[in-house]
Amino acid sequence: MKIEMRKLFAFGLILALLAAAPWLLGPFPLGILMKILIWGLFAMSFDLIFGYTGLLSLGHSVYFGLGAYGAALMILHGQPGIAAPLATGLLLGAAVAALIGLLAVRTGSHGFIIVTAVTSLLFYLLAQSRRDLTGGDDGLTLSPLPLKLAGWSAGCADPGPAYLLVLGVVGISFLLLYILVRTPLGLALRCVRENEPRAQALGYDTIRLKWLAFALSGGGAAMAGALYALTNCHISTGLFHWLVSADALIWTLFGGTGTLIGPLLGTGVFFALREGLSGVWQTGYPILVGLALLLMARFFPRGLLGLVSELGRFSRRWVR
Amino acid sequence: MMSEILRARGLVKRFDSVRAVDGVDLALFSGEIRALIGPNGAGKTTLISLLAGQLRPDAGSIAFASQDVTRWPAHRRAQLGLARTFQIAALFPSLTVREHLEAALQASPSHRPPETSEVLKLCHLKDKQDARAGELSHGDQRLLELAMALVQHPKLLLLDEPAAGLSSTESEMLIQLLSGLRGPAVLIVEHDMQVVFRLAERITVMHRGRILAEGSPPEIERDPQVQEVYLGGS
Amino acid sequence: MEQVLFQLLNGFVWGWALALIALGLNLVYGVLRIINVAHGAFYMLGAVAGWAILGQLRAISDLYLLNFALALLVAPLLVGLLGMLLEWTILRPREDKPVLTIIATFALLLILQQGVQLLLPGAQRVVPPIAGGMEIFGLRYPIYRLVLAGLSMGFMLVLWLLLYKTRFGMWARAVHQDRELALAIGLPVPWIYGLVFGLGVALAAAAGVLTAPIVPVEASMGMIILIEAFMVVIVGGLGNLPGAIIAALLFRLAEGFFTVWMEPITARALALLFMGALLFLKPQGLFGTHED
Repeated sequence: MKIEMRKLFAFGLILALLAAAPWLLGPFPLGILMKILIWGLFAMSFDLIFGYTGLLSLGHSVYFGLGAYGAALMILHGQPGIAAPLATGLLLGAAVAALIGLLAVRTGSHGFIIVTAVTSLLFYLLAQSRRDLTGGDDGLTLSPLPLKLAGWSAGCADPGPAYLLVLGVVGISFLLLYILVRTPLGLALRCVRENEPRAQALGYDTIRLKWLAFALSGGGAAMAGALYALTNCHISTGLFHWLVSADALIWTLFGGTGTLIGPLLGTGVFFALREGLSGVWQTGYPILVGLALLLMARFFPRGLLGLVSELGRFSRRWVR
Repeated sequence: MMSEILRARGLVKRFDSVRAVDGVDLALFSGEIRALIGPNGAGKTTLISLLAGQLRPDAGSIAFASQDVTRWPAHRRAQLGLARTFQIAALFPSLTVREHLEAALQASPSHRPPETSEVLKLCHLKDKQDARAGELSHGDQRLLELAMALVQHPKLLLLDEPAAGLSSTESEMLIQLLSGLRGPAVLIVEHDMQVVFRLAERITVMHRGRILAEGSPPEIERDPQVQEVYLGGS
Repeated sequence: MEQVLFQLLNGFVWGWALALIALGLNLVYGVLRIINVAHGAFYMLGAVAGWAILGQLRAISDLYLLNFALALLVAPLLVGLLGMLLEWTILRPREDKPVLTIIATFALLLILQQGVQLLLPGAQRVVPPIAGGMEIFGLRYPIYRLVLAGLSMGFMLVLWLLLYKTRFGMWARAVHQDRELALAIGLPVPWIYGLVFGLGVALAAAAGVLTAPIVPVEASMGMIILIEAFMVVIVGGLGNLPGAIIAALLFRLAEGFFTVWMEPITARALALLFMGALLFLKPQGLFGTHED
């Protein structure tokens, strides 16, 4: 594994810029930036199974939802704070993903789509049927994070220091994922994506590899969910709906599959657009997204990053 | 006395009602190069897939490296030292040549030091190691298939028509490469008799799912049954 | 006891309706090898088209039964034609990349559902064409629901005749068995794709019209039933048509049975878990022969 200095430098620069955001932005844009980071982590985790391993999961909402509810229930009924709820959410999501993965990866690539979609309905219904715990459609209301930094505190409308917590966790998760996809495991996963029977013939236990990728990916989604619960003051069973999983697909596809920056970028662009077009957004949002998706699938299956690299190649040819 | 590396007994594979492989016994010895020939539809590729584990036999047993591997999935057989190539080049299209070899290397349990660059040179892929497999020419793809198998240092190498679609210079390269191999037993399915007679020490002939004949190249050439199958038009 | 009978009858009726939806989904999968995520939206379109056609016919004719029969024929036809059109224009170019085609069907779902959401204000009701109930073991049960199950079976019979007694059916089965071979012997595979897709979504639309009198007709009505059809299709065995019917009945009967003792939503979750357990025992489906 080799990490290029140039990339390390770029990562540090972006991290520093993001860390300076609280002093540059007002509470409202800061809140949006925080949401982009959280949902970006969700999309990156999704891309570990979709872009790197080649399996389309419509069930990642389950792990986001479990992460969120695991953390929230820990705050409400167990031990409040930060570390305990985060750990609870992460472990709950990763454990359930490991369990469901046992079945999902054994049903073939089309079966995988179906099984994961069904799990999102299952957990949605289960969450609805335990209204006493989950609050159903109305959800649960949580108090802001008890985080104070030199008189600076987190509220429901102003993320404050909670933003830095999110940035830290997402940054570390990004680094871990970045390292993961560059280890032998990452290469093995890409082999599974490209040609599973060939990978088997080389000696890879592809079922185990897919299972591992799914469990890790579920863990990442759960981490994002736990961060969401910690910072959002409100969560509901709607988080389990399979359309939430589909959001990760949309963002990832737009940004560029098979990368980590792509999903993050896609999420950012989408949240920015949603703020900018909020008027049209109310009624037309799904239609616009649908049309855009059709165009992407038809003309730019590699997403924005693919487009950027195409443009780069094009311009370099013209400069010479 | 050479040691036995693979022994198949009474292998049967049916597709619907067709017996693609119908009671095949086969023994391979370490270090030998064996050719498997026969008319189209004789069951050669099916036999290879049974040996490598892509297919499960309906009857019979397979022992490899003194283990009964009949029920083993393909990846466990590969880890024990069985490598194969595919009739239609089966690669990872968006991965580079170098990544293919890394992937092959890390999947095999071989403790020998990596010889990736030697294999690359051997297969004439040295200057293409950053190219994606999907962008390679047909011939280079076949060579990459072989290179992946070679870096794994297998005990047994199953080659399914490695020369198919190669130009004459490319297949000459392939013959040089294979005849220079020291170590693995090789079972090579091939239609090009030129290649077969120059490489193989022994030849096994399959016809309609069964073993028709086995022997040295001159013996096979003289065998009336083989002549019947190839010349008589079945 | 009456409660048990009532719930099992409901399960039976809904089982046939779900089977009809799942058959369409499975047919499309079997021949085109794509999972049509928009399938639930076509079910919804069928119900909405049925509602709209009934509204138009009211001005012309008072014979509601006849109007309903007409809607039941015309709505699936229209939806089927739309499906063919969409398959030709939007899904066709991405045949080579199954995942992109599946994503395109998801895009269709968003467009169709939100489009209807904008045009259709709120949930609508459709009056059943046959009123009244009948006695079954001392329980009074709405006649229309039994008719619904019967009509679903009727549509399945038509499907069976199409698949096994016509040249089109023979071709479709040939593509299902071996696409390369079908292409090699010169079958018009692109046409078969379009027709099968149209037929598949028409079945969902037929189920939409049939169930319109017993559920609220609204844009989001296909969301949950889509996933249930997914479950049915995979437990029955991907591409296996009779398997889907059996799995649909099994699922709905289990759900009905659980509903006797618990809240409907919990019963449905439990029925899904039950199906999941079956799948765990047989990951290729109860009658699955396909590995993809």
